[in-house]
Formats: sequence, structure tokens, C-alpha cells
Amino acid sequence: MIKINHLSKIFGKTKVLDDINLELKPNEVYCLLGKNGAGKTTLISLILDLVELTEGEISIFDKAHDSLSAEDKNRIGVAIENLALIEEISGYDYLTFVGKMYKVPKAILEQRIADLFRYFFENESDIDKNIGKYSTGMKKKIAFCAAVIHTPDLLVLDEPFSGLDPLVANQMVLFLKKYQNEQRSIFISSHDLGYVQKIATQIGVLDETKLVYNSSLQNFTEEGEQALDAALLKILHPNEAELDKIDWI
Amino acid sequence: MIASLFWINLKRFFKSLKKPLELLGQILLFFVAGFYGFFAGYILNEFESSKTDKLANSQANYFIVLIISFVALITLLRMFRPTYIPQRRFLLKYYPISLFTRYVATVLTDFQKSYFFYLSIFLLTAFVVMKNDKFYFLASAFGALIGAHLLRRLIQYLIDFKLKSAGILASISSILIIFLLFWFIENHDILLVLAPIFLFFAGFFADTQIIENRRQEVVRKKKQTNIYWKMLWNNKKIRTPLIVGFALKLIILSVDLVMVKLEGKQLFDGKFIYWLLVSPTIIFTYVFNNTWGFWRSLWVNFALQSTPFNKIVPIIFRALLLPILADIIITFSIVPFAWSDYVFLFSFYFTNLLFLIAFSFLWSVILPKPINQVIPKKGSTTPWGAFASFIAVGVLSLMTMSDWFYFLIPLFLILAVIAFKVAHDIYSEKKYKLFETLFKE
Repeated sequence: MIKINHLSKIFGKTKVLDDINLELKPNEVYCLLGKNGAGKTTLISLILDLVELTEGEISIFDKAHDSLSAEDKNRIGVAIENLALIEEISGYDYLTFVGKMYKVPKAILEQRIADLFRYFFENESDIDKNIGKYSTGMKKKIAFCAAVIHTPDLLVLDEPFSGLDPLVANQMVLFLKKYQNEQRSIFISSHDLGYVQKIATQIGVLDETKLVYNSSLQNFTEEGEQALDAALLKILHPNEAELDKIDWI
Repeated sequence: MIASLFWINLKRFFKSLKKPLELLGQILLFFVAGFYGFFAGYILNEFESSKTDKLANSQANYFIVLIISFVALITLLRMFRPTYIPQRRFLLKYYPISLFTRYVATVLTDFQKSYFFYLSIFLLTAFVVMKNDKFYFLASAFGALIGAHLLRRLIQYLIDFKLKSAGILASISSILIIFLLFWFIENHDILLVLAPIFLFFAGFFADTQIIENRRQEVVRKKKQTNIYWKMLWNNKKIRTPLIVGFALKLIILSVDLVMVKLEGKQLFDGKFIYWLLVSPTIIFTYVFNNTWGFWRSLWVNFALQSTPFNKIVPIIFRALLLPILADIIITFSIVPFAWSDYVFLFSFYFTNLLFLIAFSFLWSVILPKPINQVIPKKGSTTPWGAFASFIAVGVLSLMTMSDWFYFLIPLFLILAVIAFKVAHDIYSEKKYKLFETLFKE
């Protein structure tokens, strides 16, 4: 689905990503972990061809990522922060707009909007509210609904669980588990290790511009011998030494 | 019962005025209807100012027929937008009632719609302004209005109801009879009185022939509304500058009109600044020379789907349409009364419009600006775009000096085509810059 070879990205004089190599195959859920500012969102923006590559190559569906046809793009669903949410219109209008863009037949679209809303939203009247008036969690949910409304083969989600209450976050995990099949792949960047552990098949860790870990979840947790957060802390080396210097706490 | 229905409609109307947009719309419609009524009456008076001039008299008659035909035609065309609401829903306490009472009630309440109110304002204003044949005009126009509405009702019976065969036959025959009578009989004055009476009873007969309830209630479920309107109105960063700009334009052009009528002198001596205000520049220098700065989320949706430039253009154009229409209404409701050279006015305005639309695509792609405030301190669009727009207006206003400068029109149109082509060609290359600029934190 996605293949990245020797990818580097430089903004001005700052190297943000350096020699990244990874592959996402069908039926895999790749979770990208890393500190804030590690370059996770930049990597996603590069995959989605929103930001220009400095070096290397990205291929999606075995084609260069910047030469995908509209049909290829219709096979990708994206929820990247709240960038694509049109706040001036209602949730219903937005999902209809996205569905039409991805050429979902009208009757199917109506059904999917109704189903997604019933599943993710407690109050169905929220569908007619303008997105600008939604809470952070509601925006996250509507962005997710828009990403899956055309049932894409490749789902790219940037921090899908942040801002969600545990109940809805778990609903999203269940949804993703059901969504996943042999033809589909999911690429997620996230900090929420609890939810990542429930769905990930592959783990990548970004640190200091490099992909410092890239393997299966089993390898990462040593066949479940250690918790995901402990495994991550082994790689990222938290700055504990500095804590000893703070004597006023 | 009819009073109750009238009260319900009145309450609904006043409730709608609580929304500022509705209120603004109603006020605007009121003045537009009154203005065009005044305009029609004024033109008729001009035609008839010379009694001995046969040509002028025939032109006046022709103009009256034109107004009446227009009223009848647009009333008939309303059948494409059915608005049936079962009266029973509101008036349960009066039911059961006789078929005839119900029919009369529904016909009368049909006329309690804002469409008829504004059309009546138009006709009554024309009636007040007119000096000759005013009662003839009023009776004919209202005859045409009522007749066309009843004809429209009759046609809609065939669409909305399942009728007995006698009802279908009678309705179709009545419609054909009306059309044939108007086609073959020259004296339409009598027909304008008789046709509404005939259609009223034909409608009642059709009403008695209904064998099934309405196939569907044709009140549209208001879920998806015009998203282009919402994107304009619900975006404070767009709404505020446009309203301020239009209000300024309206005030200054009105002051100019008063000055011309009272002193015979144009504001700013009819020089560059005056034409800058007449042109549609404001829409572009305030908003549309930086379309994606205001609608960056909309743009990201296109970018994610790799929507080609030529498919994005119609969408921007639909968003542009409402401000353009507002500008056209403001400009052409006032300026023609202050400036009598209509050829120049139309050429100047529409050449400018096409030029500015094409260049707005280009500026939006090559020089985007992130918009983080309602009124950004450094301006909301590129200064280069504003500068080019001002130059264009200044150069085109040279057409007031000599007819030779009309050669500028094809030149401007060629420049517009070039600007559009350049925007089209560089879009895919510039999209990375657009993303980095618009989403710069």
C-alpha cells in the first residue's frame, strides 16, 4: 500500500526527517509513535502529497505518490488533525460534500451518514449544527466519519484518539478493528498507547528526525513480555536526569 | 378559519424576521420591488408624455403588455418549486369542513405568500407613479397574476394528485381552453377577468375529483442547504468585509445620485475614484484575490483528492456568484440614474468583472495570505492584486474620454484568458507553497 524509500525533508535549513524507510502492506495497521515535534504530521503530509519531498520516494498502490489519479485518491481516506473540516457548514453538509467528492452514490451516502452519526454521536440533532460550534471531540469524530465515508482501502489518521473521551475512543478502536480487512491498511500517528496496542500490527518510532524503530507489535513488546509504554521509553530515553536537578519541587 | 391561516402566516413571517439575514433579505426585497415599480411607472410616463406621438403610445401599450406577461410567466414558473403544505396540519379545530370551504381557504391562503406581497408592492408602486391608464394597468396586472396562479394550481393538481379520469380530462381541457383563448382572441382585457373565474371553478372541480391523498408532501426536508451561501455567511472573516464594502458602495453611489440630480455634478468629478467604486473591485481586493486564505479547509479537501484546477474553478465561481450578484444589484439599481451612457457602463463593468475574476484565480494561487483575523492589519489580499485591480479600473475608465479606448475591451479579455491559463498551468506546482503558507502556525 505505502512504500517509503530514503525519505528526507528539509524546511529551510532545518532537517525534519532523515532517511526514512518503511512499508505498509495490506491488512496491516501501522502506528507511528514519537515525541511532539518528532515529524509525525510532516511525514503524513508528505505521504499525502501536501508537502514537497526533499529527497527519496514514496509510492502508494505501487505508483509515485505525486502522480496518483483521482481514482487512486478515491481509495485513500484521511483525517489529519482538523485541517480539512469546513467549519462554516453543518456536519451533514460536510459529510455530504466529502461523499460527493469521492463519488459515493446518494442513497448509499445517506445511509452511511445516518449509520456513522448514530454510532459516534449521542445527539442526532448535532448533525445540523455548524462544525465551527462543535467541541474538540466532536470535530475529531466528524473528521473520522469523513475519512471512512467512502470506505477507502488506505486510511491515514493523524492523532485520531486525542480529545476523545474513553468511551468514544474505544468505539473508534472497535470500528477500526471491524474496518480492517485483507484489502485494507491503516496508517496512524498517535500518542495514545493504550488504544494503539489494541489495533496496531506494526510499530514505527520517530525520534530526532529518524525512524529509530520499525517492526511488528510483537517484536516491539517482545511477544507481550513488556508493556507498550515501557518498550517505547526504552527507545526514546526520557530526560530523567534533569529532574534530579530541580530541587524546589 | 381564513383569518386563522392569515394569522399563522403572519406569525411565521415575523418569526423569520428575528434572523438578521431574513430581515435584511425582506427589507432588500421590499425596496427592490418598490424601486422596480417606480422604474416601470416612470418609463410608462416617459412613453406617454407625448400624447400626439402614436409611436410613443404604442410603445407604452407594448410595455404594459410586457409587464403583465412577465407577471403571468413568473407566476406560472413557480410550479417548478412546489410549496404545498396541508392546511389541515394547522387547522385541525376547523375540520371537518365542506369541500368548497376548504378549497376557498387554500386558494386564499396561497395568496398570503411573500411572493405575492412583493409582486403587489411592485404593481402598486407602478400604479401610484403612473399618470395615464393606471386603473386599466392595475386591473389587468392583478387579473394576470391571479389567473396565472390558478392555472399553475390546476397544473399542479395533475402532478401532485391521483385524480379520477373526469378530473384529469376536465383539468387538461381547461388548461388547453385557456391557452387557445389567449392565442385566438385578440381582446385579452375580457379574458383577464373571465379566465380567473373559469380557472377558479375548474380548480374546484379538480379538487372534488381527488381519489387519493397527496402522493407526497412536497415540503422539502431542510437538511442540506446551499453550502456556498453558508460558507460566505457563516465565515465572519468574509462576511464582515463584504458587508462593510457593500454598505460603503451603496452609500457613496447614493450620495453621487443625489448630487447628480440636485447639482448636476458627479462625485469625485466622475474621475478614477468614482469608477473604482462603480466597478466590482471591492469583492476581489477584500476577499477573492485570496480565496484560499479564507477557505483553506475547503482547499485542503481538494488537495487531498488531487482535484484538478478546472474542476475547482466552477466551485469557486459558485461561491463568487452571490457577492457578484449583490454588487450588480447595488451598482445597476443606482448608477444608471446618475450616468446615462449605458454602453460605457455595461462595457466597463462587465469587462472589469471578467478581468478581475480571471486574475483572482491567479492571485489566489501565486500570492496566498493566511487570514487569522476578521480585519487583518496587513490587508486580506495581496497588495499586488489590489494594485493591478486599481490599474485595470483606471485604464478602463479612459473609455469615458474617447471611443477609441473601447479597443481595451478585447485586450482585457485576452489578458483575462492568459491569467486563467497561467493559474491553471502552475496550480499543481504551487500547491505545496499554498499548503505551507496557509497552514503556517
